[in-house]
Amino acid sequence: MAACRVVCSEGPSVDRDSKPTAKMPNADDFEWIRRALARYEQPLLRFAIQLVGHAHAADIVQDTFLALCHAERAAIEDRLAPWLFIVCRNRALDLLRERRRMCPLDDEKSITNSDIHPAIHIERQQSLDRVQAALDQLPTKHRQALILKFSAGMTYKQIAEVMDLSVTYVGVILHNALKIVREQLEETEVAECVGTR
Amino acid sequence: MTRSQEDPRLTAYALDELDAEEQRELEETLVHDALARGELEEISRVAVLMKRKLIEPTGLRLSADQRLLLEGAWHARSVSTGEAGAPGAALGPFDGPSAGPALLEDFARPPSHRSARKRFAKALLAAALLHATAAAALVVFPSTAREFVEEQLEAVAFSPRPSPEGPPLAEHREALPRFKAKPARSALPVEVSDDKPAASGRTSTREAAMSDVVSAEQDALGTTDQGEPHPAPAPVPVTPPVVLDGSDVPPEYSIAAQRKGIEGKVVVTFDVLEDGTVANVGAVSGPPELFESVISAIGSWRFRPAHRGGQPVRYSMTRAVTFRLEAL
Repeated sequence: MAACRVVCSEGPSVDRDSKPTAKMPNADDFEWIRRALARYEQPLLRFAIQLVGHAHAADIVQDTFLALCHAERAAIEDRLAPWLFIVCRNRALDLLRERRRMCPLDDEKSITNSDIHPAIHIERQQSLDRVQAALDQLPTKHRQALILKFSAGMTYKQIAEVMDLSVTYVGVILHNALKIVREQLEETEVAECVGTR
Repeated sequence: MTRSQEDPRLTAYALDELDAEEQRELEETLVHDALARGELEEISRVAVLMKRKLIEPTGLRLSADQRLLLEGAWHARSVSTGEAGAPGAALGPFDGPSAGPALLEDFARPPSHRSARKRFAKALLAAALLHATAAAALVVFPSTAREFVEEQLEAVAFSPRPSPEGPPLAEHREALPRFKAKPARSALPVEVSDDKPAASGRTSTREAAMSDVVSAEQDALGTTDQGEPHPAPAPVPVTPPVVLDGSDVPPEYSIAAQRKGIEGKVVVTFDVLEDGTVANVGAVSGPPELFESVISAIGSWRFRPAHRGGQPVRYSMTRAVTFRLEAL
């Protein structure tokens, strides 16, 4: 069912005797920010796309990490993931408010298959296509909860903090979301079976 | 559909969100309720699919300019608080003159986020200007440039690393040649680890991406930078360690992690000691739930130690372990 692969590629090695590895003062903080970027860039982009569309998602995520650069690490380290997503959501809401003032009914798009990068679209497996189609049909709240759970790897409690909901309600939303997706997948599979006869 | 099938606890169980007591209660129910067991299997199946779907790359990423801007923000904060290390090591990308154009492009973005960027960009520009000044001075006035730059460095309160061999500014002096030689390049990770099932053509790309990440980390630490004129001592040939056959037992992929659909690449660093044992194993990136098994496994590996001039020496290494769920 599952496989574990050890990649034997040689990572950069450091010969301790010839090159000192003493870290710079504050290098830990920089490393922490870099790790946060590596871990949460894609989940945040996915979350931001849901909120403001592809055109502005990267700007929102950039602002989120700018805020992180200026935040007190000690104050947010224990709740980094919820903090990032709350900042991301707030920035997105600011942007939407601003754009609403400037141009009513702008060109915001919801996520659709055509928005996905062509290279990814080509490689996508059929089953994942069906999952995407089912995701597109979900209410925004359900979709966001799924992204926070599966893309960002958050706990129910963290999701509740980001979405400002109770933990119990988050559990219900995720349960219902998976149920709806499952039903949609089953319907698609049945339709494809009938179509091939 | 029965009541038990509608129970959100089934999803919570599949996603490992129940506490021990709730888990035990539900497991007792599952023993007697075949429908609920079937429901749980279906939920788990969809959860795995969902996980796979939602960890796919979005097709978007922060641009090189945006990454530079983030580094600039961090750099500016460090300068203002006097916490930064010597320039050119932790923040290598600012050594080149191209940080300026990157900023100018950023100013051309839509006005919605311009003010925030402008504030950070100004600070970055100030830092880049100092570096550009240093580079120009080295070319035009080589004899006096070093003194000039040292004064500037002191003025902006970069705190030099303590150096047992000489005065603090000695390290700045060593770093000066890099101002004009090192190309501007983002030290931030350029790619998030791609956890998609390995297609033959993609594996090398993924591993190359990881190499970029780790190389970038080495850049930031100022420890490794092939092809660039580091003022490091002349290289002494070292034979790297070789893992002993049979000792490299793969890490355990726990059932709990599989059930939660946790996949990904765990990158660890460790030292191979002179006696071939492993020490200081630390996870650098990857799903935290998988860290323990990787650290535990690699800690048990044994190597033929690195050698220099016939003598065993300590050696620091990096390894990546990929956990991947097979197709259903």
